[in-house]
Amino acid sequence: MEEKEFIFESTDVEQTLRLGNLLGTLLAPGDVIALVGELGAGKTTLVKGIAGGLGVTDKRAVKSPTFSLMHRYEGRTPIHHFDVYRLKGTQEMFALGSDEVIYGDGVAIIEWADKVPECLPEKYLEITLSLVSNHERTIKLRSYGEHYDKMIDTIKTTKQLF
Amino acid sequence: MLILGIETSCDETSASVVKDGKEILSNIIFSQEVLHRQFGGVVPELACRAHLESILGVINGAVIEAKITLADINAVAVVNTPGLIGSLLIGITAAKSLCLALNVPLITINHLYAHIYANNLESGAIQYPAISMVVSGGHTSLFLSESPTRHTLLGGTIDDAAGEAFDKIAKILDLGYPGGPIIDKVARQGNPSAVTFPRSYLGIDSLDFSFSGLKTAVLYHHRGQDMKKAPTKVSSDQEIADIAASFQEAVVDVLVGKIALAARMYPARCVMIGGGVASNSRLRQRLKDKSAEMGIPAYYPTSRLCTDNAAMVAGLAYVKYSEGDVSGLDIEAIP
Repeated sequence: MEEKEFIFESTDVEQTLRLGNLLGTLLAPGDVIALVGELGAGKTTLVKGIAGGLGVTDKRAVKSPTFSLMHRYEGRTPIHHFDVYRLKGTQEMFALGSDEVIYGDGVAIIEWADKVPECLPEKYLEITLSLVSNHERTIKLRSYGEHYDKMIDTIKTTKQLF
Repeated sequence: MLILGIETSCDETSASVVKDGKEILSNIIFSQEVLHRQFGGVVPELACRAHLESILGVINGAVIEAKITLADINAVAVVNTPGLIGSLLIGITAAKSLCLALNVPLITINHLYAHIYANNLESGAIQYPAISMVVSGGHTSLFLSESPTRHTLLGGTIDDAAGEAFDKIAKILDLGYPGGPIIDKVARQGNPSAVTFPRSYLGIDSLDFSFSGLKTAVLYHHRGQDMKKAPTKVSSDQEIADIAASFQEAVVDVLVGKIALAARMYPARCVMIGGGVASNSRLRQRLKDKSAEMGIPAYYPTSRLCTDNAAMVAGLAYVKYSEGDVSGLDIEAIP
């Protein structure tokens, strides 16, 4: 299986939100997104965009789940927003019942996914955010699975972002 | 009337016996930190497992310390919202079992309202309406409180909680964990006006909070222009203290500013804070100054009652019980 990659240079928060929004419209129940990036990279901001694209209308709904570990939002499909920052590793993630959710019907988004690689399914979309300046971010999308290849193709050809 | 309170909504397992909503006979708090020390870090971190292992001992400890027996308990109170679902369930199941066994009523408590009630445990007649803020690792919520049991949410964070910002900034500055007390301490050596970090007010009459941008600004300042690299120059202790103090000032400015704004928008007769961040010394000082300026009293609990604890739960339960607000044994956890 060959992975597909797409690198997006976001100039500000608004663009990051727009990318998330577009991605949200493309997601289907059962999809898994693994978010990677250090503190302040914009992971939660991207999730705000994704949730909007999935039909979550309340702009205040999406908050950092660092302390509560997981938030659930009701969009056109349920969204499970994990934050693994406080967890020591895979075992704690499993203890949290992550399997039921990740292999369940909703969309699962996992912040700090690189801390729990064993919890990820075979197929998922990995998004790595890195800081460029105070407002600019490099956002790298990488697909693991054909379904996500198509998603990257669609995002690539969608001009509204640029 | 003796109420046994149980609190398991996040990382602390706590049980407490409080008499008549006021007199704390015992308040046992068992935190993951203690677990660490005791078992050398081999115990699974996850809260629900830790709660399950400690809950019976903690309840027993609360009863013994109160110098009573379980048979003396008149009611059991438990936090059923908000919190981690698995953690909440441990406390709720323990509470329901006790109620069945002892044939006493069950009272469910909102964790945030309990944090506000911590003030009533220590202060005499609090005058309502009040503006109350719960500020901790997981919450930053502002309420209009008309009584100890009646609260209307006025605003909250739209991204990171204030305590979470403290923890993450401590991590960025490599100061350790938990970030709140460390930043408080380090900031005392620093100049709060050394760096002007952004204050996010989200509009002139907004009562919501945002700390995500501040986090990025501190990161940017600390790391310098090229964010792709780790900091090239090592900051001196003084520079770190200045950043910590300036960051803390930015958070406190917004917290105190919003409390004052809410107290102007609604006819508040006092202001009060609760939750872990309420033990921050700068926040306490600035709130006191502000309330003196506004001519209304400010309340904040002692540090032990700022952290998650069951005394605030058992205390508030007395008021709810007096109002006839008792729950059935079919209640569920609401994460």
